[in-house]
Amino acid sequence: MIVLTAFENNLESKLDPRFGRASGFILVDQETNNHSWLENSQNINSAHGAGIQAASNVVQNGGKVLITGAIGPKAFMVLNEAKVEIFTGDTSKSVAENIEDFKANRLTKVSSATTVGLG
Amino acid sequence: MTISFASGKGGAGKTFLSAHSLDFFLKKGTKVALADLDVEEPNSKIFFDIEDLSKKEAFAYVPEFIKENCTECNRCLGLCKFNAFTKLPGSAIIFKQMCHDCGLCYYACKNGAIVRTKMRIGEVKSYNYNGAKIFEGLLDIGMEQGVVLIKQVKKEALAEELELLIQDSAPGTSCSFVETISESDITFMSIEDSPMGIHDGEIAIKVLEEMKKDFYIIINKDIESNYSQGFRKKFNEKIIATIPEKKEIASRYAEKKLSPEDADIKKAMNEIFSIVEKKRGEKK
Repeated sequence: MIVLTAFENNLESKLDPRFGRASGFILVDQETNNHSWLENSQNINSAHGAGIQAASNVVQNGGKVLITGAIGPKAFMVLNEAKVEIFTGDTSKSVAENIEDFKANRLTKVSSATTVGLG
Repeated sequence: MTISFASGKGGAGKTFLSAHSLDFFLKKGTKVALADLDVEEPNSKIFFDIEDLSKKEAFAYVPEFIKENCTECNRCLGLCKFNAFTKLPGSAIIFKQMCHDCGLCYYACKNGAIVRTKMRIGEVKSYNYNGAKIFEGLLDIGMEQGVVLIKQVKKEALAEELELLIQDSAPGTSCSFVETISESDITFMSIEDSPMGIHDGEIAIKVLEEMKKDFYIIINKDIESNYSQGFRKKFNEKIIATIPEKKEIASRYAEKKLSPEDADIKKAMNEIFSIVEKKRGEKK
């Protein structure tokens, strides 16, 4: 399952640059190419731990690859422990375009947190 | 009897007033102690010629995951409200500094895979100043369990035979402030005469009102500004003293010296003293 941060449940949505506080996640099944939506609104206003919670949700929903804008240190630790591969997507492009870039090996793999968490 | 000094905004005079109060009550012959509960940066003691009395390590309790005992029953999954404990397939990630020790994860695990363990969070220290004790909590760098440490400092201080405990609160209106005032009989708000002093002070006062706590206001660094007029009108009957902004007081303070002889400070201290005495009379 490929997971991408998005503003809305639509492959034409731009990639959401936020991870823990993204509007939601688009889950793409690599075998069938079907996609579904995982809401994240419950995390947007949480006082802290949004990244951890979002990472946990990605893992529970079978995510193996994550494409997003920036990732904080705690979320990175959770995803790394669960062996989810993280890639930095292009936030000026759509979710669909980012999937194409991923398939063509044009995205950079993230090997450590790319932003400072908010706590 | 316990009183607290708080302000909302930092640098508004909490430590300034608590230190002066310790000095004042001590001279009045009250059996008094000071607890510095600003555990991220305690500094009340620097105004006094002190000697070290004791130093104890403080601990919080946090979960540890014992992988061999885990049966992957997933009863613990998604339980932690503070995201301190995250169960993953075959493992778990624990952010110990985020744990509030609510105990839910230990309760959920029936297989001994999540156990409660001790973690050092800081120190509780005490000092002697002219027969009065000064207690302080010092949170280790990177730790977030300030409230746990504040509770331990309070416990240590209240074990003494005292007539009065003076508490110096942390700034802000978050958990540290709430824990400080939770069992305090009276809270004295030091309100700096500045836009931020008024703004943050009013938020802290809302918390006090919500918690139905007895409180009084001292306007500090008073410059009789225009923006504080509304505040003064609104809380007129709560304002017991004003201390004008004076260069002499600030200069002495910068040299770690109090100004107990200043007429305005003396007046403020006398007001605090009579309010405390009145409340003590009521309590008896």
